[in-house]
Amino acid sequence: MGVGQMDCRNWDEDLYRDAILQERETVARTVFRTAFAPNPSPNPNSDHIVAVSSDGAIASYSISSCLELGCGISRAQNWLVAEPQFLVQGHDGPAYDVKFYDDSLLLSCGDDGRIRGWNWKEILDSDVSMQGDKMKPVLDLVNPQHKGPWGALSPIPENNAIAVDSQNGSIYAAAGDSCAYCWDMEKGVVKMVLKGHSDYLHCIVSCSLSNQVITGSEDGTARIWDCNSGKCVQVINPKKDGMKVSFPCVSCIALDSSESWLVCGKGQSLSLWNLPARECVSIARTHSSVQDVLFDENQILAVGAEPLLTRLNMNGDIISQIQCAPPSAFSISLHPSGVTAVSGYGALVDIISQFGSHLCTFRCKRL
Amino acid sequence: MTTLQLHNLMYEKNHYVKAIKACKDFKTKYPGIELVPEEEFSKDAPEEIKNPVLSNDSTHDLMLKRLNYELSQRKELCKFREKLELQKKALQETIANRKKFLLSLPSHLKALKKASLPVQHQLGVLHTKKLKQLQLAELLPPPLYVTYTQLLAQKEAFGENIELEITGSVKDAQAFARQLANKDSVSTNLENSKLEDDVADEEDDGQRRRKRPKKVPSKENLDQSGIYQSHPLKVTLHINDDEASDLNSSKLITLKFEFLIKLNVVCVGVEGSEEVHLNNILCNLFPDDTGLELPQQSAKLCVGNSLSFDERRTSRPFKWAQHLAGVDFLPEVSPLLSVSEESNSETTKHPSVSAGLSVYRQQNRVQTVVQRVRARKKAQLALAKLLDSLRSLKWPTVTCESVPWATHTPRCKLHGWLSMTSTRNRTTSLPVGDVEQGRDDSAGVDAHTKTGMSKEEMETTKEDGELPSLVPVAAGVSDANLTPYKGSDLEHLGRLSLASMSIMSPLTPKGKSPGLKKQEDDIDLMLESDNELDEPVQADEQSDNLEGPSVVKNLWADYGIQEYTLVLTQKLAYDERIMKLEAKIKISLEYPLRPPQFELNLYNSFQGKSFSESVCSEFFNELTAMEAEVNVHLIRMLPLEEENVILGHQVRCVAMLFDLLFEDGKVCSERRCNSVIDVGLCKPVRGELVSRSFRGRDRRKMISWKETSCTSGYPY
Repeated sequence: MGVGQMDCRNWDEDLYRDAILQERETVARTVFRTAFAPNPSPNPNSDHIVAVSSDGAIASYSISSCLELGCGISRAQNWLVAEPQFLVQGHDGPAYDVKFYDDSLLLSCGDDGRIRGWNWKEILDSDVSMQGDKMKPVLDLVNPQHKGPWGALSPIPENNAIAVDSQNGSIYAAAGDSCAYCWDMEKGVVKMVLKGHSDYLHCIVSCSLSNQVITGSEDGTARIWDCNSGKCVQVINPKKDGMKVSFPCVSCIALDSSESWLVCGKGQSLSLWNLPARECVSIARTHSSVQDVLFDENQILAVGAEPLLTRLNMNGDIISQIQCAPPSAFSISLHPSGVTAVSGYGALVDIISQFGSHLCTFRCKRL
Repeated sequence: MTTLQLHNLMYEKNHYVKAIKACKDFKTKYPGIELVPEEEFSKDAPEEIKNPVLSNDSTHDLMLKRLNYELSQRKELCKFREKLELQKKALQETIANRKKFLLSLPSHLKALKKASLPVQHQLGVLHTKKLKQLQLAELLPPPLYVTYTQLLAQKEAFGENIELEITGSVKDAQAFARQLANKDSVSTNLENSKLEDDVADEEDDGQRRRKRPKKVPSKENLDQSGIYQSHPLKVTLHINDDEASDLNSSKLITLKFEFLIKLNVVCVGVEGSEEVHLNNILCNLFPDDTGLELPQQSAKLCVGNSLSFDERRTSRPFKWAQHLAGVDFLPEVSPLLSVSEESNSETTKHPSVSAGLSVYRQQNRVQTVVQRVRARKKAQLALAKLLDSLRSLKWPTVTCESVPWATHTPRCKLHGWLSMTSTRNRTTSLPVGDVEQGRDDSAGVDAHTKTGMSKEEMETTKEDGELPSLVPVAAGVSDANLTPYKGSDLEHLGRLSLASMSIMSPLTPKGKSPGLKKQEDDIDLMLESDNELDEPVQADEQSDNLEGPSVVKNLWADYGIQEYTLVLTQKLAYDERIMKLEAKIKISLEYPLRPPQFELNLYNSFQGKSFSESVCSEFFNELTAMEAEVNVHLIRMLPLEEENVILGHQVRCVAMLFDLLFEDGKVCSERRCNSVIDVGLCKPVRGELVSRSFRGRDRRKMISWKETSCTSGYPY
């Protein structure tokens, strides 16, 4: 029975009050990251997309069923809630990042300082009736706590992002205690701690070719680390570009496929670095602070705290801007076919075709 | 000679023979007299009759004695009868006396009753009134009868603090009933007229006593002819405060139930308010119940072309009123029949109806409705108080101590409080209720002037540099609304309301559109590509809206919504900027069940300049976090008894969050280390804890509070 159909014959005030708050809560959630599931077939319609959101939910949606919902940039705030194929409470508090490890393991991390691994095959096989309550993570890693005076323990630092290096069997976590942790996947222990940033980390990427990781931090710098020694190789300090920047944090970084170009989102600017030359090639200004960035061939896709997906060329010039559903976008993900998914505030996921048209827009289901 | 002698003798002999014959032929009366049997005689007869010998012949003697006995007995009986006759006469006399007394009694009683009325009134034992009300109740149409009896039962059985009254002209009601009865039978008529005499009598008394002027408003007469014809009797319900002990101050609200005969619906209005605005208090008492839509299919058919109820009427057919009247289980025949058929008490005895009534009672309908009305009224009173204090630019007082913002003294200034009498709402709702063409036109014109007005207002505010951000949005609204009006003034109303509905929607996704607008100026390229993309989508949109159930759902929730703008300002310590936080607050009729919704915008202005720029996009995440905090999470934190002053809490909370947003004179995050030295110990205590102000990918601000003050960051 819908709560909206209640009247004085079956009135339950608490239920109704709760329903209103839940309705608002649904809209106030954020999808922090989406990831397209690996799929050998090139047809994006048979794929799944995994979304993690601020209520700690990990959900996988079948793209073909989402396409039926249609796009509704015009439908005001009445985006339809998509029915997930799989839904589990992955983390206490927000879940920030999700990545695939070797096509068979789904890794997620969140505000509770945990990295959890989920068996992707099991997720694919689970039927809808058996929702994720019974699903247990096959991997569960917790960040260490810092020791204070008299044995006081600090809160568990959160994991804001993870990077995967499947060749070396390790994953890197950008943690809230300004360290990056390198976890050994086999043993489930911390192999290495990368210390050097003065504030918490926002993002991390790994370069498998050079065996390096690059981190971006709240302190406004990005650092390149050598994975063998655990030492900082270089501090990248994107310049302020003359203007007043209120958010000097490096919120997102991305590497291109050749791993020679690095794009770094800091506040309201994007800076492009040539890694071999270790120099800044171009700086592009954006209207709002950048929150996620990605390379698409030799173009850059960026989203920020505005409902726009911006495409730039390597010189930092804007090629196009596409209106997207989330008023503040936290993640872009790219499918090999060129389809992008933009997600963010409002628990909205907007799937945009390679030609820039909206394929579908849906709201993630709450737990 | 001898012959002569013989003759004589013969004659003599004949004479004797004749005499003997006569004697022999003598008939006694004896066979005709019923005598007591011999045994009884010998047993019962007194001695003075038995003893003397009256004759030689024993049988004769016995007979004589028996006769004597009989005689004496009969004489005695005769005497007894006379005595009884006397007694009877006396009794008849007393009876006559008493009859006389009885005949005079009613008038005496009436006099007594009349004399007792002031006493009854004084003592609060309104016996006479109650009786009269019950008589009136018999004349009520069944739905109102159910309403009345169930409310009365609730009052009497559970001590619900309400008062009930049936008002209206009895004569009209009787005339109405008779009119119906005439079609049916004459027999009931007699009964009716008898009843009517009594009631009319009473009514006369009442009129003499109260000298109530008879209301003959011409407007009502006009109504009577149309589909809105109502039954002459109405039920008035006074709901009192259940907490106040004082009788006089506790009256909360007075509702008036009336029955529309043609439509077979029960309408409710607030007594003593002609304004629609005040009547709105009953809207959405339960979800999706604006009272603008007729609740039953049959009624809709009856009205025909116009699907909705006239909005300007003060009383409306709310769904809950129908439920209260039991319309859902009363046989849905035309009231024209059901009223005359049988008396109300008989109607309720019908098996299906009594089953319905028992369900009715199990569902606690009366209690639920009365509690909801009470809660709504109290909430509205509390809200009015809060709005008053905000209008005079004072921080609302919050008494609850368990929340941080209650103890936090805001550093920012409450700079402005504007009531945005929402043009948007009015224009959408105006055409809905109109039926006739003439009215429609006037409404259209009305809307034009209104939107025009609002546009002017906006422009003046723009010149002041007060609220520049509102201008593009609001102007957009009025522009958009104007066009469909011109086109579709004469069109069907249903479409009109739909059209205005769809106009609203494209505006909403651009929550922070000022930023966008700027962007559009900057980048032509984007504008072009945008338009190309947007146009086909908007074409789809109308069809989308026609089906989208969620859109319809939002419409009822938005009905009667009040919009306000709250402006808070804060001068930054480290530079000359003045930050201005503007909150658009939507207060729904369902307050506080549906808490006010805040929409925040942030502006940046420099001292001495009237110019201010939006910095929403820079602070978007912070603003949405604040919105979520105020709109959702705060409500979960609040204890339930603070519910009615929820707006006060929200405003204080926004102020606190705004203060903390720019705390420490720095926008950026700051880390602090807590290190400890244990004085006097040879070895220093090792270890430190780093406190943080921000956390997570969306840079959520952390606030911790102790006892009375809160600071940003954790742990502290």
